Amino acid sequence: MELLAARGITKYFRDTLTLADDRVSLSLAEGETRAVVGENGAGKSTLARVIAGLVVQDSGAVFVRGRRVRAGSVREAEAAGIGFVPQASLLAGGLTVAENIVLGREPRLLGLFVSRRKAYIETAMLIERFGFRIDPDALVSSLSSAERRQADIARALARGGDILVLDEPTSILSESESERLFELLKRLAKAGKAILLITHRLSEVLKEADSITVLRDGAVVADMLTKGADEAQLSSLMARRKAEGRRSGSGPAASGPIGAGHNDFALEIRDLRLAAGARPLSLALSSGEVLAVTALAGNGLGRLENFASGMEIPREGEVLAGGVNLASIPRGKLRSEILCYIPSDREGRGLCLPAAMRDNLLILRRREFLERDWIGRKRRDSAAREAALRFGLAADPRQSAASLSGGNRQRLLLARELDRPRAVLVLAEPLQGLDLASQAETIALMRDLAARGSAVLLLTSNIEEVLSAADRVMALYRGEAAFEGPNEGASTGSKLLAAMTGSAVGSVA
Amino acid sequence: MRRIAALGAALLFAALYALLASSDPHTAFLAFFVGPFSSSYSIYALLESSAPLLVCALGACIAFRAGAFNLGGEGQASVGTLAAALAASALAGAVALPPLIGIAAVILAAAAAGAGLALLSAIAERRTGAQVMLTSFLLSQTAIIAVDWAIGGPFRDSLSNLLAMPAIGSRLRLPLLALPSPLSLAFPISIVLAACTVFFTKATRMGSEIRLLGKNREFARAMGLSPRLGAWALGISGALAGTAGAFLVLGQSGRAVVGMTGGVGWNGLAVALIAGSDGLGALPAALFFAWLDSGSRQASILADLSPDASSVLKAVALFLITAKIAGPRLKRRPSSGAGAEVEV
Repeated sequence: MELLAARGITKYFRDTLTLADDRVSLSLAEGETRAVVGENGAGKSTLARVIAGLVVQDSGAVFVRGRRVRAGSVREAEAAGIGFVPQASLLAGGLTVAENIVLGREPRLLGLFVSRRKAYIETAMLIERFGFRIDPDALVSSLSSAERRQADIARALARGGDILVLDEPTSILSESESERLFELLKRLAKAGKAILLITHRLSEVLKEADSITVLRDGAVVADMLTKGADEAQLSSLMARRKAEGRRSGSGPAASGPIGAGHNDFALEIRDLRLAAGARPLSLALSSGEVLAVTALAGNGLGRLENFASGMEIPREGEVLAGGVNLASIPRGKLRSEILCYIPSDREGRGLCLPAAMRDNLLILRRREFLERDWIGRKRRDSAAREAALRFGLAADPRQSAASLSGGNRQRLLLARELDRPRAVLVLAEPLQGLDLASQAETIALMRDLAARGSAVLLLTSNIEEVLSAADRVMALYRGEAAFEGPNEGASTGSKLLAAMTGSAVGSVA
Repeated sequence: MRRIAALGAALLFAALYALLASSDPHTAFLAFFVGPFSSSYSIYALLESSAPLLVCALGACIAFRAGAFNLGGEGQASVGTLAAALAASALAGAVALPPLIGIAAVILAAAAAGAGLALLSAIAERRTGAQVMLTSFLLSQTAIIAVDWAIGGPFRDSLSNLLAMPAIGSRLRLPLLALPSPLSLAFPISIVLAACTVFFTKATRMGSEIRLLGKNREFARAMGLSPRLGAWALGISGALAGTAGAFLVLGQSGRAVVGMTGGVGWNGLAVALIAGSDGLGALPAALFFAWLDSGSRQASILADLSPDASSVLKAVALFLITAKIAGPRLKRRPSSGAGAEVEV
């Protein structure tokens, strides 16, 4: 029996000029596991968020058991039975698993007092029934990423019920952890739950899903059963018409970003010299793509950061955003509308330590908020508090940035820069100072922004970060590209390492 | 609170100084502390003399907030006096012009001259990276020499024995508010300007941006704040110093005299430091300085205290207050660093 149906979902993001979903339809039956696959930026995450009520679609509707679910209401979606597991965990680190699971609908004694015992029992029963391996009394901040994922799913089950929508659930898990997660999902499917699995890992799809919906550039290009499908067929379906097609602008309006930057790469670097005597560097990023560049200190990563962020105007070569030279864009406009930039020099460039947290947070939205220091102080404080809380930073917005710990300073930066998708993201060492769980969440968020149309240039000295986040990778050595290629996991890691230490110069793939 | 305590300490020092330096401590004491308030005339005189000081201090406050050390207040006030005198003589023939509009035009001319001089530093910084602290000082010293030459040379009033330009017609002088005292419209204007400064720094976007620029330039650039923001702050700062020059010319003396700024720019800097670059604090600080000036002048006339006493006392007050400001900062730094390390 058909449990969930999405019909003609269409969503256009004004801020990145991206048509994320174009008349997408799919259906899901009891006990069915359906995978939604597609490249980055194909519209998978947006579709999931529409179904979960997090994003209001421009047209189309979601039906559960034939009844239409009101658009843009998480509460209604949950009431209809849809539980959503986002890419970045929504759990509160300071609470226990049980407290998180009952959050907002706590069992009460005499309708008045929150009953921890009832919450514990309720959670324990849920955990028991589906064979989760987590302790309801454990603090979420003490969980590993795999355990956290389980808790996420338990939360979604407790809140929704019959339908689980999982957005890239394995992106931060190891292979064995992923396998265990899929065992759990199989048990849930056997119990009659319908599962919608958003992923770009085709091996998972072929092994775990019953049916597959393939998205490309926001539109459904195939709807099939897993039986008989193979990886090559799926990849060719997913593969976007290559850059030539997009650059000529001959594709339909639905393909990729629309508007000013349509004919160009989101970020393009031409003939930049990063070190004296080095060969000039060129690279190009399409929207939805994550390119990670790594290097050891002193090999040009810092210069690249300065050029890509427009902090330094190159004498040779040029940096283009959406086809426009960065130097010709007024800096205020660049930073508030086009470029999101997390500098590696957090204290010197990223934050104004003596200034209040709220000024650090709202400076890019200063047209809206910095107008009045006296008037509207409350509105600003609450906006700042809200923005900070989304990144797990619970602090008084009036306190100075200097009073925050290193990790919280980083959260403050992330909260300011990653609050909404922009055309270009230049992120230099974005994970410095963060604990492991926050690192994983930040990477998931980065991927999510890419999925919503941002082009991400990740600059980091940490190969692990590169491998966990990037589509394409590049290593610099003495200011030159020593390796460039797609991210193929561990093997790419060793190639990067060889290239950045200078033992494989010249092997540009 | 700390500032008030420091001012109290400075006064204590003043008393001690009068006690030691004068052969007639009692008279000196009275003249110094009570003299400035002994008559409505001397109170009004004190207020009048605080006006240019306050306006210069406001300019310094805005520059300090933007992290631009405008040390050229003296020169900017100086070009302000020349510009005011020239504008007034140019407008002397325009009888049809309502006096208040004429005065406003003269003040604006002086402000523009001060702003122009200050902006040269901003341009030099933008083009070559030259430090504002150096260029503003050097340009100002040069400007003072040029202005003194102009006032004492080509524009000099040949009928007068003074090294001064011709007196300005009474129509363009600032109206006096409490005859026979020298209190003029300058004082109320300076209060309004102080209020405007407070509003500008605390309640406008540019004011907030200037504050952030002053705290971290690199941050301001990375956040895409306008690269001209610092120049704006310097320009406003110079315009206020120039306005102080106009007050001097249009007030009691009624003409531009060689060396008439008499340290108003430097004292404005000191007042801004005492006020912690806060426009609201600049008013009491400027009045305090005016009082020290007036007190030591009276004490030097009525007793045998040196008229230089005020300079010594100003230096002491400045020393005490800036020491108080630096103290806790030096203490805070290592502890916050350690805290960050522990929490990371």
